[in-house]
Amino acid sequence: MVKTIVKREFLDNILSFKFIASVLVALVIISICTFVLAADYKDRLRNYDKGIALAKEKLANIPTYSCLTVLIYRRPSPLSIFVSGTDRKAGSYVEFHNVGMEIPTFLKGGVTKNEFSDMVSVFDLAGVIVIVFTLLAIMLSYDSISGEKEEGVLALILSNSVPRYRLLIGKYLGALISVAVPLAFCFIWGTIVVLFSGGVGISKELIISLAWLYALSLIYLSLVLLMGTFVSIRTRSSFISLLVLLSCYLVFVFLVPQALRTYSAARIVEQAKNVEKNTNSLYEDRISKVGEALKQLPQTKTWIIRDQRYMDLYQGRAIVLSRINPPAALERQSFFSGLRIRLERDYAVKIQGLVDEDSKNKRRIRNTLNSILAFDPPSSFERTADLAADTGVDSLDRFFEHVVIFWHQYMHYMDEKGAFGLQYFFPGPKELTAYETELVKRINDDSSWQTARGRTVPYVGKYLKEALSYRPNVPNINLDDMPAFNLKPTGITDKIEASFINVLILLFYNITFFFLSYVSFNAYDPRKAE
Amino acid sequence: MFKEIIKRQLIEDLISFKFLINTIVILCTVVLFSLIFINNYHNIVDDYSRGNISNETTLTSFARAPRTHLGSTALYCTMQPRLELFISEANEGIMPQGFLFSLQPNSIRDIRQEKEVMYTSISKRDLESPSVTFYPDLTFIVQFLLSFFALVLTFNAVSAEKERGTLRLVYSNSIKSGSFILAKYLAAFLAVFIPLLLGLILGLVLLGLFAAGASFPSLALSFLLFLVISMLYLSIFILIGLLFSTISQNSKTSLVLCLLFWVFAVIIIPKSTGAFLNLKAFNVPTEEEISDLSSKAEKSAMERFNRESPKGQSDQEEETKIEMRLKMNSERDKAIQDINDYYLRKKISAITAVRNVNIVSPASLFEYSVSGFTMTGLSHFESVWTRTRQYANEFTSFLRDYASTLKSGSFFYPDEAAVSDKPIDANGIPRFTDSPISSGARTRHALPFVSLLILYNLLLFTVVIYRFQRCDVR
Repeated sequence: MVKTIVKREFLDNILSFKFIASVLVALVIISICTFVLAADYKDRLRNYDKGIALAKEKLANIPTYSCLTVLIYRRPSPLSIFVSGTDRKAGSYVEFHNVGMEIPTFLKGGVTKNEFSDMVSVFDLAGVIVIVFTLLAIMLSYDSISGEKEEGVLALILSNSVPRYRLLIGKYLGALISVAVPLAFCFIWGTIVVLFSGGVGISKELIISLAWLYALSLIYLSLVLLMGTFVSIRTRSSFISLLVLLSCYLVFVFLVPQALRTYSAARIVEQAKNVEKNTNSLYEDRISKVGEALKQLPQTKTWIIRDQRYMDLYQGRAIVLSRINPPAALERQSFFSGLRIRLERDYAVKIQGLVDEDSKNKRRIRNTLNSILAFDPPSSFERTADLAADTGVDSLDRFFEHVVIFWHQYMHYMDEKGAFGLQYFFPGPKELTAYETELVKRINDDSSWQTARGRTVPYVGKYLKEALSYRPNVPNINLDDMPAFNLKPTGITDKIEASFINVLILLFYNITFFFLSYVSFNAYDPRKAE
Repeated sequence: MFKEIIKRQLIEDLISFKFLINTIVILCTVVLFSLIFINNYHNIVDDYSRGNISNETTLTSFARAPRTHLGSTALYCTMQPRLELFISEANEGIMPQGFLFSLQPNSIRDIRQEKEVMYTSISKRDLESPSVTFYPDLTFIVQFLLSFFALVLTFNAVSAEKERGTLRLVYSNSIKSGSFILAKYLAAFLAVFIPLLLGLILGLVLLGLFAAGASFPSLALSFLLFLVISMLYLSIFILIGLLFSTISQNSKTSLVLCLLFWVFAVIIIPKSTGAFLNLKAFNVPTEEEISDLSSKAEKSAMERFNRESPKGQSDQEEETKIEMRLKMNSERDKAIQDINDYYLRKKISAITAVRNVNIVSPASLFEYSVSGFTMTGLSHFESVWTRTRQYANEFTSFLRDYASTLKSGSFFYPDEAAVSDKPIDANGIPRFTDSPISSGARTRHALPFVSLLILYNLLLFTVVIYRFQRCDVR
């Protein structure tokens, strides 16, 4: 008997105007948005590949450690085609330059083509489920009982020997299948669009994550159907039922999450401002400390030759000395660099402490928000979708946690290599060749620099040309054994674990509403209705 | 007779359950949104004033020793937050806030030769905002809630009478069919108008009480204009409700049609056209590509300098070198500035083009007309852009005047003479101020959209009357 009801409900539903219209709308939007987002993902992937190549290139020709720039690119998640999350806006890489005296806290670059693009939004699959499919589920369920009440069919059905729970289950399953089929179709259609747009491989992990996303969507939509059925049982006419459900739709899909998110975003901004202020004062502190330390520099008068080629190549960020330099200049530079690096490193750790605290606070605010929103079914679903696709703020947080870990590993490695000593600015081996020693001696004897003003005099005398044209083959620094940044993509079990509570609440809602519907349907008396 | 119908219809609407619910929802939302807004507004004002304070500090130290501090001159030219944001936020929070105007972006440059000055846009990346963004402003309330209510109010205005059979009775009377439908329209209009008016008054009072620096008369004017445009917008929904109710056989079909229309007009069309932004036609390059172009310009200038500058080290050659370097720098900065300007213009026009697709939906039309007359959002940004360019010229000519009074030494290679430079009067330096809203600009931005709204209304009105007259009760 249940089978017959399910079948009848299903056929009834899929032939109705509202069903066809909503499914068509969903398909059209999904085709457009998946196509666009796939192209966007391809752009980002290309950017990522280019970036990885660039990062390798930057490590290849390093005469001194001061020229070292480490780029860490964040791999775009292929699921961002279906759930865009923050992935498209976040940026693409972090940079440690000059041996990384600052721990980066935000991503640079990214292929955000237009700063204004947030003004117009693009739907993704998750958005279509929350906005269009929720509406479809409401329209399928709002008159499932109340419609029959109005037509008087319900009294007839109840007079048959079908138990009420079976009737209820039949109606529910019929509606669920009518939602599940087009939903599956949309998922498959989205995947096909992705396949046809080319360049994006469909891996096994992607399919598994999509299946998990599908299951999540179904749990969410089943809840909407059950709420619809419940309201439909409790109300006299289908009009009132629809009105109540649509008000709920407006409130839970748009109003509540938006109001709460705006509020929490304001709180987070407040936090961030405070931290920015403290960080800035630390930076100022650092500058003044460096200034003080400069006074302790050796007071001997000396000349210096910088290697302009590299300085230009690294836009003045790198300090590279020529091989032709007196020991006094090298000592002075060593002293200065060592001091600066030590100070900057201390401050980097201090600043990281502040940032850490800040991100803890931010996470606390966000967690509070998330746990409140876990009770709002659409937001709860959106969050689980973000987690399933690995594109939410959480995955960004994870990335930065790994960046900090990597920074420490990297610094440790640099220490071991003695990167902050002479090799920081002086290319090649420590010992000078006979020619070099001889040239240094000649310049030392040149009187022109001794009359110039200042402690360290850039040498401009008659041997400058010779010194600059002397370009020995300096071996590049070998960085093959540098620790690699690796961030493993989250596995499906991690994803399920992370969204466990949200799914549990959704399931709990499902059961509650089913139970409530059952109780109120049992209590319904067709004789008293009129 | 006509009055009688309106009165009857209005009373029926006003004592209905849906009217009560709607009024309560509107008033609660207005209160909630005002509180959220006032909280946010104080934050935004705080941000803005921090920029101002930083500008003051920069200018004071600059005035003390102009030549030595020129390198650190970076001034914020950002959008001044207005209370009108409560009426229409228009995404102002997630777009670039303005420009950072610097005289020396990365090297020395000669003001005396300078044509234009560098400014880079600063953007505020908000990662917390969800994919479909809504802001707690009055536009949202009218756009979403009241339009929905307008449909709920009218979806069965005619079809219910059909179902009850009262329409036949009406026809058998001597009422003109036009005046019947007009009465229905006016009653619904008033029933939507009343909660909106109450909400606006409440919002205005809350804003006046709690938001610091509220200038009441101009705000009240904005609210009044908002009321007028809102009613134009809502009238479209009332007419759509009447239309569907006339053409459909029963209220249920009419309701489903109305709902589909609402979802399409209010959510789906405005929120999905963003996809077009990725079209190749707009040809907007990425951030990296733009910075590549800039660094290419920089490199080619550098190469030219290396090629053409004298190789010798005599005093005269050194002087020509400096001259050349200054010239090269100013050319390079001009080139970079042009690249930035060109692409900013392109990005804005891409957005405008995508927004122009949206005007098929009355909801977007409404949003744009409101943000047009409140001058928030994109129009505000554009006015700040123009203003920044003006300011750049003002500042440059100020510096040029100052440079001409210098007796000795270059402006840019400050030697010992620069330290003994007389300080400038800090108050004499031009400062950036956001331009106030002029009524001309208001009309210019809002008029096209408002006239389209009126056009939609007229069209729909004709269709409704025509369809109703063709409606045969037999």
